[in-house]
Amino acid sequence: MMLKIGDGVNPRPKKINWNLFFFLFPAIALIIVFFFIPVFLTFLMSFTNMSTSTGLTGFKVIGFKNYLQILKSQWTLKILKNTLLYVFTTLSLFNVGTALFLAIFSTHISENAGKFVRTLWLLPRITPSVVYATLWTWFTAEAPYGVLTQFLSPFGVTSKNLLYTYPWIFIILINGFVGASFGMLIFTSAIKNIPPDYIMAAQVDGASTLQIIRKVILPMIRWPILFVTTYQTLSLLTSFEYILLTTDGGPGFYTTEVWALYAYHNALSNYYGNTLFGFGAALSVFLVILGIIFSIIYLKVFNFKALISEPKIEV
Amino acid sequence: MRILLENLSKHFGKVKAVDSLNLEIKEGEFLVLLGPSGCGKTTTLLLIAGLYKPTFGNIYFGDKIVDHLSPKDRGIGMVFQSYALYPHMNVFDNIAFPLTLMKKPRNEIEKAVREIAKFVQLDEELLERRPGQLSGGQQQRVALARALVKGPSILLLDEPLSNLDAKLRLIMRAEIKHLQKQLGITTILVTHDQVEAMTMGDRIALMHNGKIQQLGTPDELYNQPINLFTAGFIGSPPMNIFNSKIGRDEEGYYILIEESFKVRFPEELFQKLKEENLFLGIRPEHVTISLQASNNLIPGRVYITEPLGRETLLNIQVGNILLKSIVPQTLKVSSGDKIWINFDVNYCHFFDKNGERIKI
Amino acid sequence: MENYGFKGPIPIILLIIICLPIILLYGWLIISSFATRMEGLKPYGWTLNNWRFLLEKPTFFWQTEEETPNIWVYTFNTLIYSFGITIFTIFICTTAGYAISRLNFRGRRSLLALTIILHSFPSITLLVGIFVVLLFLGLYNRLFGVILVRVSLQLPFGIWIMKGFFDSISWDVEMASLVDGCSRLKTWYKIMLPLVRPGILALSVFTFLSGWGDFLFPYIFIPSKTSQTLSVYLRSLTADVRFVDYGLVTAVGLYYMIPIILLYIFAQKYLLNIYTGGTKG
Repeated sequence: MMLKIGDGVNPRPKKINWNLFFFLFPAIALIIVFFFIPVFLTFLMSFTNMSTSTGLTGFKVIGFKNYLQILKSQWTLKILKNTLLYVFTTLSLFNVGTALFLAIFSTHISENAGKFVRTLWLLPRITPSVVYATLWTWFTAEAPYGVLTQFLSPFGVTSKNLLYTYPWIFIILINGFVGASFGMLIFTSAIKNIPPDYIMAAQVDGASTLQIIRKVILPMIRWPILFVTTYQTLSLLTSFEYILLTTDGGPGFYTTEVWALYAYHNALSNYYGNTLFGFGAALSVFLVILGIIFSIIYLKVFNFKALISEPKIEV
Repeated sequence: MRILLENLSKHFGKVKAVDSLNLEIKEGEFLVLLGPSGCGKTTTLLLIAGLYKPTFGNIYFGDKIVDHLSPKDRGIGMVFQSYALYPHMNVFDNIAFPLTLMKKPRNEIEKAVREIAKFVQLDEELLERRPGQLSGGQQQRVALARALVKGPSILLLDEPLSNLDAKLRLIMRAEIKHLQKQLGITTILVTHDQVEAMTMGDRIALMHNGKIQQLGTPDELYNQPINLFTAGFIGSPPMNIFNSKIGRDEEGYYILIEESFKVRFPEELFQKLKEENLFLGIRPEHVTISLQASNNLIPGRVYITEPLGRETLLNIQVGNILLKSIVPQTLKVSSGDKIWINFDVNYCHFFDKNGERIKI
Repeated sequence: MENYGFKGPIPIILLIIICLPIILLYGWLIISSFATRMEGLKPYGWTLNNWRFLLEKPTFFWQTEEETPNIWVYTFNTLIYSFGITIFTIFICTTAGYAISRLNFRGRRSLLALTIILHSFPSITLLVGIFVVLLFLGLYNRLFGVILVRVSLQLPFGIWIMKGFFDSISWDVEMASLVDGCSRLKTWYKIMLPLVRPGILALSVFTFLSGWGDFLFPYIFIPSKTSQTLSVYLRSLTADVRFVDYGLVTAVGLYYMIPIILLYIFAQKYLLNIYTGGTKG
C-alpha cells in the first residue's frame, strides 16, 4: 500500500515545549542581552558623538565623523604600530615559542619534573591580574628594591625603574609569562598523543634530538600550532588588562598604548573626565569586526559536522 | 498485552529505517525481531518503546493507540545491550529506581526489589555494590530486575545477550526464556544472532531494509523460507543457493546448476516450475554423500574438510563451483578424494528470479 | 608515555632558567608579606604587622576612616561575586549544554555554531556596549549586574565544555531512565547531572577562579566602594606609586590568593582538564 505524505501522520497537540524553554531560555536570553545587543549598540554608537557630557540621550548622530577622526589622528599610526609590535612579538616569543619549548622539554624529562614545570607556568594565568601586575612592578622597581636591578647591576644595568626605562621589553614579558601556558598545555597533550613508535623509529635511524624535534615532533603537531597561533593572535589583539595595570599605556604619550587599550581609554576612562562613548565605540568596531572574522574562521577550521550528532531520543 | 503495528514507518531524512511495518504480537508471545545490522529492528523496538516518534502509522497496545504516550507512560520494561545501569547508584537503587519515581512507600520498594532480585537469581549481597563492580552476567540480571520490577505488561530486550561471553550466553538464553514463560509477559527481543532467535522466539520476524521479510515460527523460517533473503540468512552454515536453469535432453528434464552440472528430478516437479531461470537452494545437511559412483549421482571432489566435532563440514568441488555438505564425523574423507553427491528433491527449495519462493 | 628521553643536562638547565622568574616573583610575594622591609629578595627582619589589615582598616593620611570598608566587606563581595558567577554559569551551562547535546529541536545546529563563534569572540571589545546595556537595565554599579555580564561572557565556553561531557554519556542510560519513568527534565536532573559531575566540578573550579581574580569588570562597572571586590581594593592600594606599602600590598595579595592556591593544589586535575579540553585563551 502506498502512503502519501500526510497519511497516517499522527496529529500531535501543538503546545509550548516547556522542557526546551527551561533548558534554553536562560542561555539565549543572556546571550542576546550581553552579546547581540552590545554588538549592535557598539555599531550604532560609533555614528554618534555620545559622551559623558551629552549623556545617553543628548547625543547627535554625526555619521562617519568618528571614523574620519581615527583616520586623521596623529596617534592612530603610532597605536597601530604598537599593537602589531605587541601582538607579534609576544605571540612568537612566548605564546607559541616558549610554549613549544616548555611542551617539548617538559615531556622529555621525568614525568614529575615535567608536571612541576607545567604547573609552575600555569600559576601566572590563575593569579589575579592585580596581584600579578604588582609582582612585576616590584620585580622591575629601581634599586635597592627591585630584584631584577639587583641581579643585573653587576652587568652594568643602571638602577633605574626598569619598567619605565624599557617598557616594551617588560610589557612583552609580563604578557608572555601568562600567555605561554595556553599553548604549552595544548602542545603537551598533542605531543603526548604522538605514538612513541615514530620517535623510537627516528632514534633507531640515528636522528639527533634536534632532528627529532624538527622532523618528527613539529610536523606532527602542526595543527595545534596553527590553532594556538590564530587563537592567541585574536586574544592578544583584544587584551589590554596587564598593560592597563602596569604602564597604563605610558610612560609618556602612548608609548605602550595598544588599540584595545586606546578604545578603552577613550570610551570609559580618560584623563579629562569626559569619556567619548561614540569615539571609543568606533575604535571598538574595528576589533569587533576582526573578532567576527576570526570566529567564523574557527567555525570553518573546527570540523563542524563532526561536532554534532543527531539525537537518538525523540521524546 | 497485545501489540499491533499498523503501517509503521520511520524515516531519517531520506532513509526509510522502518518501512510500512504491519505486525501483530499476541498477548504473552515471545517475538524476536531478527535481522542484519541496519535492518530497522532496533528502530522498531525504540518506536514501540516511545523513544522514537513514528513518521507514519500507529502503534496499539491492546486496543489503545499509544503514539502520543511518552515511554514512561507505556507500561514497558526494557533491557539494553549495554545494560545501561546507572553507574552512580548501587544495585538496589538501580532496581528500585522505577518504583522510586512512582513514589511508592519505602517498605514496599524494599520488598519488591528483594523479591525481583530473587526471581532473577541475583545474590542479595550484590545489592549494595555499584554496577561497575559486577560481572557482565550479574549486570544483565540487574538490568532484567530493573525492567521487571514495576510489573510492566510488555518487556523489550535490545540485544541483551551480545555483550556476554559464549558460555554465559547459553545460560542466560535459557533463563530469559524461562522467566518469560513464567511471567507470561509479552516480550519482544531484538537480535542479529539467528541461533538466539531460533532458540528463544515463539515467532520470528526477520527484517531487512526496514521491512519484514518473513514472519513465522522458527520451524517455518527454517524449513519454508519465503524468499532468498530468509533462505540465505537463516541456517548456519548457510543454505547452498545456485543460479539455475531448466533444460531438457533425450533423458528428460534436468536443472543446470550454475552452468556447471546437471541434476535430474522427477518429471512431475517440472510441471510446477514454470520459468526457465530460477534459484535452487539446499541446506548442507540435505546434500547426501556417497563414496561409490552410481546412476544419477553427481561426481565431485572434496575441496577441504572442516571438522566441527559432532559432524564434519565438507566443501565439495563440483564442476566450477563449491558447495557445502554436513556429514557425520564417522565418514572419513580428506581433501582430493572423489565422492558422489545427491540432492533430495524433498529438501530442495526453489525461488523465482525475483527471489520469491515457488510453492511445490 | 615512555620517557624516550633527550640526553644531557642542557634541557634541564634551560628549563630552570626560564622558570626562575616565576619562582622569584612568587617567592618574593611570600617573603615580603612577612618582612619589615625588603631589598631585592633580602628581608630586613620579620613581622606580622603587614597582616594587621585583617583586624583593622589600613588608613592613609589622605583618607578619613569612614571612607573605606574593611577587608571583610571586600572579601564578602568577592565571594558573592565569584560564587554568583559560578552558580549561574553551572546552571545555565548544564541546561543549555544538555539541550545542545541531547534534545531534538529546530535550530540546534545553528545554536551550536553560534556557541563556537561566540566562544572565540573577544567579548572585551564589547565593554562600551555592555556599559550602556547595564545603565539601561539599572544594573550599573551593582554586583548583580556585573555577575550577569561575566556569566554571559563565560557561557559559550561553559556550554561548549558541558556539551562535550553530555556527549560522552551513553544514550542507552538516558533511554533506560525514560523507560523507567523519568520525564526529560527528571532524566537531566536525576541521571545526567550526576553522570557529568566531573565536568561540573571542573567548570566550577575554573569559573570560580576566574571570577575570584577578576579585575576589569568590577573595576569598570562597579565604581562604588561598598560593592567593590578585593582586586579593585588591592589596585587602590597600589594606585599611587609614591605611597605604596609593599609589605601591606603583598600581605593583602597573598591573602587574596589563598583560595586560588588551595584550589590550585587540590583541584589541579580538573583545572588542567578544562584548559586542554576547552580552548579559551
